[in-house]
Amino acid sequence: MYLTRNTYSLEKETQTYKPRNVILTDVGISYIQKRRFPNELKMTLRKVFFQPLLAILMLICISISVSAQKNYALFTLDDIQAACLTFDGRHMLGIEAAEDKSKLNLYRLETGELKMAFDIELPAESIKQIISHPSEDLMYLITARLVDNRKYMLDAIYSFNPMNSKLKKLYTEKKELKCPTQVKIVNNNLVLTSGFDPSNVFNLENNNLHPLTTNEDLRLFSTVPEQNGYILVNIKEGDEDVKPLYFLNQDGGLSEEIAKYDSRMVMSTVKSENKVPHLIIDNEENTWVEEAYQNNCMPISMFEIASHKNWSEVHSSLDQSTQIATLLAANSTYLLAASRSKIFVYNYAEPQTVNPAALNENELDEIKAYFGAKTSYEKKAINSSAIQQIFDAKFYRIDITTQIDESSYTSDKFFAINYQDSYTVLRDCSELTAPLKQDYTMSTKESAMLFEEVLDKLYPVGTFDEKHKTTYQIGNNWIFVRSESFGDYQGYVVETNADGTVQNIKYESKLETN
Amino acid sequence: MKITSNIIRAFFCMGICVSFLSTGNAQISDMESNALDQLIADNVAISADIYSSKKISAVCTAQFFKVKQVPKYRSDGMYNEILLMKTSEGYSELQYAEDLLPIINSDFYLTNKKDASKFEALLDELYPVFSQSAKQILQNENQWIFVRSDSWGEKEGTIVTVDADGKIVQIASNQTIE
Repeated sequence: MYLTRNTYSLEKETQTYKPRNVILTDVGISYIQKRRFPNELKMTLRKVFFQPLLAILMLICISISVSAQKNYALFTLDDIQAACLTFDGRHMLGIEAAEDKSKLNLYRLETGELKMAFDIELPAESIKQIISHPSEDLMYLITARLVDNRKYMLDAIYSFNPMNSKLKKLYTEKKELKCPTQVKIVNNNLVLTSGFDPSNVFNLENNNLHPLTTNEDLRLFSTVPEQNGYILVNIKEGDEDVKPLYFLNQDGGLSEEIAKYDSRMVMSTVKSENKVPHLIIDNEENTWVEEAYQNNCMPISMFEIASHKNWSEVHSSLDQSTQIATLLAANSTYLLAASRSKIFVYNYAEPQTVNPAALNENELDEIKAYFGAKTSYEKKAINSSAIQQIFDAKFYRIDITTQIDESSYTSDKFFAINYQDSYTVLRDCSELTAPLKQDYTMSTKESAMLFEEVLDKLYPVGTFDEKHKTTYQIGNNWIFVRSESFGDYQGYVVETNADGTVQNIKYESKLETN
Repeated sequence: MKITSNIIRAFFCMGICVSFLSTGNAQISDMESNALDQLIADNVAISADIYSSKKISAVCTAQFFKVKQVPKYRSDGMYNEILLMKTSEGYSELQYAEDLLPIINSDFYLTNKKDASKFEALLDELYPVFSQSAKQILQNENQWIFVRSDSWGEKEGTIVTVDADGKIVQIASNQTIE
């Protein structure tokens, strides 16, 4: 099976999507509309499908536009249920889903070496989250129980001390509370958030779980561990695209509005019209909000990465960028990224530019030989009096046939030019300008028709487009119509100066009509 | 006679000319051929990554490679990715899950859900699914059904038939699952 990926091209029209009442937070995109207007199913569907699609499309565009060298994963781990970086910055902990029971492993980030498999009996319930305390030598594990065979509910919270391998159950949830999709630590609190539901706080001093705030209109936007507080968004205030943000301190005190969050995402080929979700900070004293938001954004799902320019650039350089669903955690050197079933570990401070999965030269030579034996190249010179009359170059056509099996094959072709004793591939019609004879001018219909003959050799028109083929002059430009689509004519424009000397040759999908 | 012979010769030459002009292409010299060979070599890039997951070796005996063929002579950025396998008989392309049948480990038996999960993990490695939520493992008598996609209720997947011992005897991919 040949898997072929095309590059993407954007249409000229601006594509605008205004996600009404959609807030993009550090816990992911959520859809407030669904809560407020439960009957507007169409709108909800539109958001559920199109906003993520737009984000993915934007990611692809970013990936294509960034030509930076690839950063290959230092190592990849399969079947890791949950993972976190350790406080020393050099290791990661991973819960490995083994056949019989889960295992807690410590890996060295630099090499991927399994440094220790902790000899402990892990909880029987599924471990969904693991987080390392930034200032204590403790990890916290969150387990979930499956309810009705489809919903994961919070089961219990454990602490784990890697120094003495002690696992201690701190809390058991009796009620049906959704299992958190994100856990953060602020001071001595675990902040548990599931999707866009109101967050809960687990106090590590008294092992008490309580809502982050009693105001149900306020949702967690970002934690601010540096200030022992939280940035919250009010989902009922503001307009449908822009929502106000507030700071909640550890004592429950809520500030005045500190910033706004604009959730609009606009994609356009006109650079100035592009827009990604962003913060609006009017008061200079609140510039820390942006910093706090960017510093505490992990985990980042791919749907919200557009809000984090630095991480979107890092993400686009990763070799597995298309597989990655979440940027899980990072310190100043290492980045953990997760797909459905794998954890990828990257050094983003000093990217690994050599592909560790690449083969050695002998193996690659064998594979090249395998494909070489299946591929034939037929090389022919293009014999045309028109080419001889107007070009100082020789043209060749190379037909490539690759056998897939006994009864099927693929074919491809390209043209090559020998100009000034240098052989190059003809990739674009603009490359036809340089090898034109110096004395060739496109000043008459006859001279233009010679060029049309060359086009017929290199870019022949299909049978159905034969009727559209025509050549005319507008000012100093010669237009060679080659096809038609939805009322627009496509073809080549040859720009000349007043004497008819060719200045440029280009292809246009919307030709000026005569 | 001589006139007739000249006419035939003239027609013959004309035929060659017409044929030549109609194709518009001509043979090339050795020098041109060598230069073009070099150009082709410079413009067809092949790179390959090896699949190193244990999930593959748990079920299959072959080595697998993801080969990327980049025709740099194209300006549209297209490339081909090919799944290649290496067995004791050499290299061959892996197209469908059916092709896995000859290389299933002789000691791999599909007898329970755990074995089925191993086989599903192999499929996930070689043929990743678009949506994880569509995945399902079903059993119907001597058939294990691996649902791989679900488009508006139309399920497609791979059906693996086993004998009484659980040995895989047939693999059929891209099957509509009722």
